[in-house]
Parts: sequence; structure tokens; C-alpha cells
Amino acid sequence: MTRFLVRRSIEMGVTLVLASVLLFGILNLAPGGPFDARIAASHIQDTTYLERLNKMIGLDKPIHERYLNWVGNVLHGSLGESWNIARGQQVNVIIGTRLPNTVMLMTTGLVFSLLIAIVIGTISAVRQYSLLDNLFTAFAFFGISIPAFWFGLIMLKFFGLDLKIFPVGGLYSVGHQDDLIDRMWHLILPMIVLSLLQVAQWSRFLRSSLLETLRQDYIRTARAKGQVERLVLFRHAFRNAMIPLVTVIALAIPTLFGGAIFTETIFNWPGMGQLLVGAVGAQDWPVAMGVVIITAGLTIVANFVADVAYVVVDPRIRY
Amino acid sequence: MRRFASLGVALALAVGTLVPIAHAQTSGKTLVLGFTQEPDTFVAGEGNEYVTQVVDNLVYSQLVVIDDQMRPIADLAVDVPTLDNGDAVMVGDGADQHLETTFHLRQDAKFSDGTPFTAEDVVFSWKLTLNPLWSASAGNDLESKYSDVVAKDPHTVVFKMMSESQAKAAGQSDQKGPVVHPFYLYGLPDVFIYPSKRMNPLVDFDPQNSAKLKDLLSGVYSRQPIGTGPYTLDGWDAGVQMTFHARNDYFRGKPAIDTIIVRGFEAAKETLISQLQAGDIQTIGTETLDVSDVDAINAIPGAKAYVRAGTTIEHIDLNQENAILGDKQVRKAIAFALDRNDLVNRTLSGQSAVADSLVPPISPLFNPDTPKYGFNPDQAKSILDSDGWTPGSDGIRVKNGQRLSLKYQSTGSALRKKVMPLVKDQLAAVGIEVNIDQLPAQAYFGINGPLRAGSLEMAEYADVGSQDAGTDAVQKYASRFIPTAANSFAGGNYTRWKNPTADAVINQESTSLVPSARQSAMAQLQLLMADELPTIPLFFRPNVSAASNRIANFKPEFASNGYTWNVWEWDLR
Repeated sequence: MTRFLVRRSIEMGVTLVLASVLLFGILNLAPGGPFDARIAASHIQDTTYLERLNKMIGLDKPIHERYLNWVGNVLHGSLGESWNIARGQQVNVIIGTRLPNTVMLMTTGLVFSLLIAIVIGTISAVRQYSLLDNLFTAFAFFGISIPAFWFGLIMLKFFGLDLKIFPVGGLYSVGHQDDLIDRMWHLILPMIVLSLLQVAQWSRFLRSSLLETLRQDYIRTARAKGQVERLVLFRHAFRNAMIPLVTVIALAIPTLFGGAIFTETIFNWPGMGQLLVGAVGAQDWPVAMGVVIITAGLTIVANFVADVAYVVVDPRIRY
Repeated sequence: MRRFASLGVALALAVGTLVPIAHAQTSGKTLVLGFTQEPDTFVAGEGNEYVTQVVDNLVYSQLVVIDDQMRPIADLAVDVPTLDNGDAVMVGDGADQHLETTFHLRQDAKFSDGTPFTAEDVVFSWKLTLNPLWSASAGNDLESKYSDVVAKDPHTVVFKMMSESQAKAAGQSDQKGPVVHPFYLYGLPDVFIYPSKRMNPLVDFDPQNSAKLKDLLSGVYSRQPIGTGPYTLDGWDAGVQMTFHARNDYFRGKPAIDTIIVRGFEAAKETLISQLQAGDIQTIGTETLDVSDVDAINAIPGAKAYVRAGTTIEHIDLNQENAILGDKQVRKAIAFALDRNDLVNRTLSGQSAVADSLVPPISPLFNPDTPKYGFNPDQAKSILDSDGWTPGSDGIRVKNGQRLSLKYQSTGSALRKKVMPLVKDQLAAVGIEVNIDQLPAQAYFGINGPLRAGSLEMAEYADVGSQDAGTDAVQKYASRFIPTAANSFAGGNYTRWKNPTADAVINQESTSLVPSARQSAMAQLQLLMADELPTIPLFFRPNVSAASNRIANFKPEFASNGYTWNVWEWDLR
């Protein structure tokens, strides 16, 4: 196990460095620059203007030097300064203001999805090919197929504009900054939209896993011993069926911090996904790099956690 | 219980983030402006983002601003100084003669921290714009044409334009006569007045040279501005909203709307339109909307879309040094072959107008007798036939073995992605082949780009009209503005058009402040350009904004100075 941990730690470090090189290269070599809009919108005669702006943010240096500077800053705990969307502000501070909103949305969405998926997945497996199972199957295909941005807009129109049950986006109502109930009221629609795909995927996953488990010899043995069906299901089958789901949930951890781009944008939810959209649109590479490197790092860590979690939840697995 | 521990931690984390932080409160009449971008800074209000300009208008003032009909109106100045009212005069003789403009300042204006507004604040703001780190200075270089700005007394400031000798000493060797500029009556156009007492220490009392300006641009002040405008910024919940409260001591009196909230940063356009429909927001600006949204906005009860033709004109520059485009007959054929009404209808839903001159009709300098090139493909074909261009086997014309094929470049904006293929089809119909090449803006407008380096053939872009609508867009076609290595490729005459008559007329216009003389010169120039066609105007780029009908006195701007330019007179019905 120790050798495994050491090997995986080295692999994680190398992967993160390669990911940072790749992401930094893609962002910084993309056509255009952070001052494109300003140049396009102005009738600028002074050719030193662009040079002056570029120098202010270090774009006059070669890309490898800029990357090494960025790495140096990261090692000192700084993700740099925003170029455009909050000019001059520390990326750490910007992300710090958005991260709690994303964590709130994604965590509640994840917990909500998990609870619903477990209920649906279990019923579908236990009542295989029943009317309910067929309905849930249809729901799952609907959830997997439907684009989040379209579903979000439909939810906004139906529940926000037509029925006026929920607010049309935002984090809180004007004048209700300190109102906890108001914030939770704003949370519901984006949480439902966010959960649709996860519920659909996870319930299908659990259904398959549970059906597989229910066919195992030890389940037959438990039943032969005369154990009641409820205990067979929850004590023996369900716990084993959940093991594969651990991977899926662990891999969802990065999204807790990375945000959901479409959902946050449609519901005007000021989180990490919306920040990434804004940063890419404004060609604010330090902010975009900050968001994607955090997501990349968490993805690497989540994979590692999933591997370790296997050992914890399944004693048969050894590294 | 342990099995629920992780669930509990997750829930606790989620609920923990719901705990709000301290915020500014709303009270009285409240208005919510919907944005799809978040303003970045309250220093250097050069309007790099439209939304920054919109919020700058809430907290700052200028000496003179423009209204929705492009007319100058006094803001921090008591009145607009002109040659007619004697506040602008030529003083001195010979090579030392220069223009002096005197601004009498309001004595009742105060900054939001309570310090009185004085002439020193104007001088300080001018010096800030001269700092090499002040990115706004390149967009409008009037400030660099002043030899000095002097605080005559606390409520009088004098702007001294350079004399011929001063201009030559500053390296402008081709200057003839005193430097003049039609924007003289604005003093510092597009520049907000900053509090010298508060900001001077932050730049070591040397606003013109201090390297600390970079820190100022992004420091605490940039998010806690102090201005003389009608509102103060009292809360900025990053990424969520900004809260402005009306000032009791605003020099025009307290605005009728007590609180203005700005929110929706990075929201989807569809979300903002839905919020307008739900009554959650009351305005949407031009940074968000385009003509395709007009019908959707007008379908909302109690809301209206405002479409302003604006002063920004899309046009195609034709390189006069190109072997094909150097032929005036080819240029005329292109003009007749273009169905510009069709371009407006198909790319702007008919919500704009064809432009026949680079000077918009709203300008007093517009010449209504400028010839119009209506859509006439037969005329285009006839001109090309007469000029020796005969159709080849594939329909593209050929002359002396040369194919009538041109490079057609621009940026890859959404509008141009629609316009350029239509232009290509229209020209192909008369036997002219164009090859579309769309570049990133920086590559297109940059020093090595086709415009400045001279490799353009047909190049489409738009000039943003200024306070003096049209003149700046047309003046750049003087031959001295052709980008060359000698002028560091700084000129804007990308067409390489050299016309001695045009040069003389432009010189006459740009060295006179007498309206009738300027009108006469500009009228002649517009006729000349319509005949010579160094550039073909296409259409006006409309500004689209939307507002609830509850807002009284909502008058969206004609230029790009932000729809809040008159926020002090807004009210809620």
C-alpha cells in the first residue's frame, strides 16, 4: 500500500505539471488577446498603446518565461492577477468569492441527486420491468439526453415566469441579501436542473449494480437462511452494490469546486462555472487558468481518492 | 451514525455557504440595471467595457458631457465654453499663437467624501491622463495637445492648446499654425474628474509620471471610488451585485431614485430578458442586446427596446496601392454591386440604415448632397465591361490575364460572419471574386496586421464615432496618416489614399474652429470621398438597449457614453 501511495503521488505530481503546461499553452497560444475588444472598439492611432497594455500584464515576455513566472507565483500561493474581468484583482480573491456559491450549489445538488438516485435505482432494480421501472427508465433517458441549458431555460420560463413559483435566476432577491430562506429559494431551480443528469446517470448505474448483486450466490444464501427480504436487500445487496458508485461519486468531487457552466450561466449563479465563461470570453487567462487548474488538480486528487476508497470499502482489493 | 457523517459534513458545508455577509441595504425607490458583464475598475474610465462606462456615470462627472442628440451640455462646468461666448479665444501672435479655453466650474459640487470640487482636481485629472500607464489616453489624444492646464483660481481652469512653436518643439514638425481640436469645448472629453486630495498621495504627488498608477488602477480605490456624480457606491458583492445610493449633496439636487442596483454579471442574455419580463430588472444595455432581440423585448408588456443608429459606421476600406483596387472604375463597380439594404435587412433585421458617408446625418457636418450608390448590378457590370474586365469561364472577370480576385479581410465578430458571405455573393454576381479572411482583432488591427502593414485589399471594420461625429473618422484619410515606418505605423489611413485636394480640405477643417468653415470643408471632403471611394460606407451599427416603461427620462445615448449619462433626472413612474 505504501509503495502504491508513493507511486501514485509521483504520478499525480507529473500529471498536474503536464496538465498545467498543456492548459497554459492552450490558453496563451489562442488567437487574439485580452485587449482585442478594446482595440476593435476604438479608433486607436497610437501603436505603442497595445505594447503598453501588454507590458503592463507581462505579455511582452516569451511564453516559457510567463509560464515559469506563473508557476513561481503558484508555489508562493498566488494564481496571479486578473487582466480583464476584475482588472488587477488577485485571482485567489476572485475565486474565493465565487467558490462558496459553487460549493453550495454543487453540494446540495450532489446530495439531492444521490438521495433521489438511490431511491429510484433501488426501486427499479427490485421491481425490474415493472411500470415504475419503465417510467424511471424513460426518465433516465430523458435526463441523460436533454441539454442542461435548454432544460434550464424551460424551467425558468415555466416556474419563474409562468407560474411565478421560483425566482428567475440570481443568488438572492434585491434587498434580501441576509435572508437565508430567500437564498435557499433561489437555489432550488438550479439544483433541480443540475441534478437531472446526475440522477438519471446514477440511478441507472445503481440499478445495474444492484441487479448484478442480487444475482450473487451470497444473496441466494441469505435468502435460503430465511432472512427477511428487506434485510437481504439493505444489509447484503445494497452495501455491495454501492461499491462501484463510490468511483462515480468520487469523480464528481471536482465538479463541487469547478462548477456547472451551463446551469450557473442560465441561472445567473455567480459560481466557478460562470466565472470560467466570463474569463474565457474576456480572454482573461489568469482567471481562466486559475479555475481550470483547480479543477484539473481536484480531478487528479479525486481519482486518487476513488482508488483509495476502493480499498476502504472493499476488503478484497489490494494494491 | 458514522455512515451519515460525510453526508452531514456536506450539508454543513452547503448551509455554511448560505450564511450571508454584511451588505449595503436598499431603501426608497429602487431600480435594478441588468448587466451581462461585471465592471472591472472605477479608475481609468476609458470605457474599455461598456458596463464600466455605465457605472462610472453614476459616481463621476465630467466637465462637459454629450446628450442623446450629440449636443454638449455642461456638467461640472457652469457652461460650455465656445468661441462665440468668449470663453475660448486665440491668444498670442505668430508661432506662439494658441487657443485658450476657460472653464468656469460649479461651486456647489462636492466629492462624495465631502471635499469640495476645485480646479486642482481638473488639473490633476489631466495630468493622470498623460501618464504612460494611463491606458485611456491613446483612444483620444486631445489631452496631449495641451501645453498646460492651469488652475486660475479654485473655480476657474484654463486649458492652453499648443502653439505651432510648442508643437514643433514636441516633435510635430509638420504642424502649421496653432494646434486646434474640435473637442476643445469638452476640455477633457471622456475623462472623469478624480479627487486630487485623495489620489495625489497615492501617486506620490506626480500623477503624470508615477509608476504607482498601475497599483492605483487595481488598488482599493478602483473598487471604492470617490466622485462628484449623483450616486455613491456603497456595496460591491463581487460577482453578484453593486449597490449605489443617491447623494443628498449632489450638485443638481438629490436624484429621484434612491437606490440603484447593478446585477446579473455574466448572466445569459436570455436570463436577463426573462428577468426584465419578470420585473426583477428594469434595464438591459447595449453590451447585451442586438437587433435580433428587439421583437422579444417589445413583446414584453411594460418594456421597450430602444434602437439607435449610433455613430459607428461599418465600412470597407479599399487599398489604393493594390493593382486592381487602384483603378477607380473597379471601386465604383464594387459600390454599385453592393446591396447594402439587403445587408441591413439580413444581418440587422432591418433595424438600421444604409450609410452614404462616414459622417452620420445627426452631425452638423453631414453633407446631404453626398452622392448615393444604390444597388445596381447592371451598372456595376457595365462599368467593368467598359474597363476591360471580361467574364471568364467560371464567371469571374479577367483583364490582361489578371483575375478580378480580391482578399476581403476583417475580424471574426458575429456580425461580420453574417455580412462577409453576403458581400462575397453580391460581388460574385457581377464577376468579382473575394476570398474571405477573418482574423483576431489584435492581429487585424495590430502593428503587423494587414491594415497597418499595408497588405490589405478589401478590409472591413467600423470606426466608433466621437463627440464630434464623423470628423475624426474622415480626417484620418489625409495622406499624412498613411501608416509607415516613419510614423511608427501610427496613421489610420489604411487605404493609402493620397489626394492633394483632400489633404488641403482636411487641413482646412482640422485647423479651424469656425463652424461654417468646418462645414464647408467637410462638405467638400464628403463629395470627394464619394467620388474617389477610398472606402465604401455600409451601414450604421445600431445600439440596442431596453428599459421598463416605469423609468421616466430614459434617453439612451447616441454615441457610446452609456445609457446612464442622464441618470440624475431619471425617476420611477
